[in-house]
Amino acid sequence: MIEKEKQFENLVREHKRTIYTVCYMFSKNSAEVDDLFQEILIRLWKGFDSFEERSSARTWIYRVALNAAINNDKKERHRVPTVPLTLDIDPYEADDPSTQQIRQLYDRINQLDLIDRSLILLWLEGVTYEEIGAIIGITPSNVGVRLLRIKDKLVKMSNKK
Amino acid sequence: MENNELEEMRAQLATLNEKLEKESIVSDKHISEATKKHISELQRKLIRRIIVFSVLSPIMARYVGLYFALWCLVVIILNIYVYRVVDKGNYASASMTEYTQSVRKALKKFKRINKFMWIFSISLIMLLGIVMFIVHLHTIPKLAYSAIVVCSFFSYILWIAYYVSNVMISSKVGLMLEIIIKDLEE
Repeated sequence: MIEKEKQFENLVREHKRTIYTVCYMFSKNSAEVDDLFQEILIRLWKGFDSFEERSSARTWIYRVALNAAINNDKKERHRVPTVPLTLDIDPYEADDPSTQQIRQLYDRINQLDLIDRSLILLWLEGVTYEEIGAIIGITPSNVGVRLLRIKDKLVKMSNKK
Repeated sequence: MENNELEEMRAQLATLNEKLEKESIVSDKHISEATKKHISELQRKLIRRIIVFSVLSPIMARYVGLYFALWCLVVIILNIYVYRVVDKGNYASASMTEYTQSVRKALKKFKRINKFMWIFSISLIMLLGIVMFIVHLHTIPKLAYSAIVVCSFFSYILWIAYYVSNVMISSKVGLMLEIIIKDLEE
């Protein structure tokens, strides 16, 4: 059990940023990020035995994290006491222009539906079309088509403002 | 916002990601909380139901009748079955398409079982009322008519409760998943 926990801890620490990015995309503030992050860790632990390394760890983590984000039950999450994340920076409050620009982009992305949001997040993270397809469960060509539509939507949103 | 702006955002995101990499983010407490045993709200509800009906069943058998004891037994068995279904599949690490379809299937299964349980309960109560009416009609008519009225009233209440429970099962999560599935199938 301790060995398994150690492996789990190493995996989580290695991919902490990946998990954080998903939480950031699907949350409106730091408190929600903390809640969702914890929910994702619980789900990762539950599924850890079934992670047979058929896919890469990153793909597996994206799948669990995105499934947790879309199946977000706030009432259920508040049963588990939230442990705040250990962060010196707060991307929701940061003053520097680049972080603010990212926040504005994310605010626009948050207006997209859940699938489109997941797709654009993965694309922004530099994930390949094949891997995006494996995470979402669609073909790489379908990923390309959808991403074009999403980018068009974002351009239109930007032009409206 | 043009496509090259999106590319610029990608580059800026990479900068944010570099900052995040330097942060610890996860503490030992996160790991210890995550690795504790957690059961979902649905599983909690099922356990409560199983306990309540396990206590109720012998009391029903002793004081009310075997019909209700049998009803309690069926409810217990169905709830244990649903608990195992919910506990078993860890499809949370499936692709989004598989995950949403699996959750939808599980929700449908749960709805079917829930429907069966309610209809079984209501039918049993009506049957009890009818049997008591027939048995006591000539000997204690007052009891016979009271039995049919009381049982009809309880059946009516149970129908309302069934309708409400069905609506609650088609919760926000269920509806949201339907939207996602429809989007993926396009």
